Amino acid sequence: MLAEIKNVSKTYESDGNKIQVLDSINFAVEDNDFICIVGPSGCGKSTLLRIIVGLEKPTSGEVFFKGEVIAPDNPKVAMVFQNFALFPWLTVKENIELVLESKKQGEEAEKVACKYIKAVGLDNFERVYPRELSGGMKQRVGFARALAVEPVLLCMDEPFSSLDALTSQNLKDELLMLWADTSMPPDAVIMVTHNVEEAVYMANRIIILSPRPGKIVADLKIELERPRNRKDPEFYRWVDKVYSLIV
Amino acid sequence: MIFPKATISEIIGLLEVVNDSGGIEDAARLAADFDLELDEILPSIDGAELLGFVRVADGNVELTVDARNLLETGIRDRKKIIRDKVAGVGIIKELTSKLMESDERKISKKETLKFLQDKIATADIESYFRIIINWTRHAGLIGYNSDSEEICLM
Repeated sequence: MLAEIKNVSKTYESDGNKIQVLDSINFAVEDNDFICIVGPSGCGKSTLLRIIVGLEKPTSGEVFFKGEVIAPDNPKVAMVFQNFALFPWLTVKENIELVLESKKQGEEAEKVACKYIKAVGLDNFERVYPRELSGGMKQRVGFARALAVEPVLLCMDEPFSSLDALTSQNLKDELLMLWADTSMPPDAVIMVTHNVEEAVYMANRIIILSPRPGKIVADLKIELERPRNRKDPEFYRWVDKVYSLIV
Repeated sequence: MIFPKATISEIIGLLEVVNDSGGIEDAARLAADFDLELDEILPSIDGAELLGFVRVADGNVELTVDARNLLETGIRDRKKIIRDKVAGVGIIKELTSKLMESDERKISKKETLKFLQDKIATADIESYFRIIINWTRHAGLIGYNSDSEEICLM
């Protein structure tokens, strides 16, 4: 088992009122899992992801990564953000090298950065600043930066939702190509999305949360062969199934 | 002339969607699939046609053999196919020749905008500049240095 989410609950306090967003979440993450977490707006999907990567503490319960309680600086867990989170004053290459600073320096850092720049198709963009990039290219930098730390677990919070529909389709397919390449990290992915079709397209496992406070309603194994086709009737049966569990 | 205002990512995304429909799809249906207006998807269709990845007839968008080859390859090999296709686009060929003839194979952004303005009749030449550089960078042909505000051969 790669990670374990054990009895995780989260309650926020606002003006003396307690708002529970997550209620007793339990699941395990295994090697080769591509998990999508879906659920209605406000069900705590992103909060759960932030707890899993250690950026937020649960009110109760724990997250274990390879048997140890997760820490926010765990180098084996990386995150891709919806809004790219790039440093505008750094070039593409510098944005990627920055995350390697604590582990690798000089030529070694450059070599790793170049490997992942090429892997995501960003070669020729190394010296470009984020302001000159389209949204799709910015998120490629986000992927390269996350992969450069060679994570075991990659967590992604709505990574395609800031992109237009066609760019998003292109990036999903390219991310799945990288996922299919066993020589590339990570070993498992957890992705939060509000888009059911996207979840069925990407995941081999979908965890569905209830409206707030988010509880696990279903944990489905998606038995569809890859590459998946959005026009395939079987694909739509899965989309319908997931929708019926959310509504 | 009109140059399609679509990035390479949007164009490949379009090819992937048409491929899901068996390699041919009605343009209006493609737009509807993504909750887009037809004029929002047209630049990507025009871009794919200019690069020789689709044929457009009677409102249908059909993948060419080159598009099918592109979709069957990985990210690295796609770059090579894109390079050959982008290198063959008229306005980019002209810009490349202009760079070859220039001192140090560099041209200022100001001069490039003037060159593009003469070719593309538009009040918004800056956004066309960004799109053309998106294509040429993808292809590894022409880059842009935003500090010195110059384009150069890569």
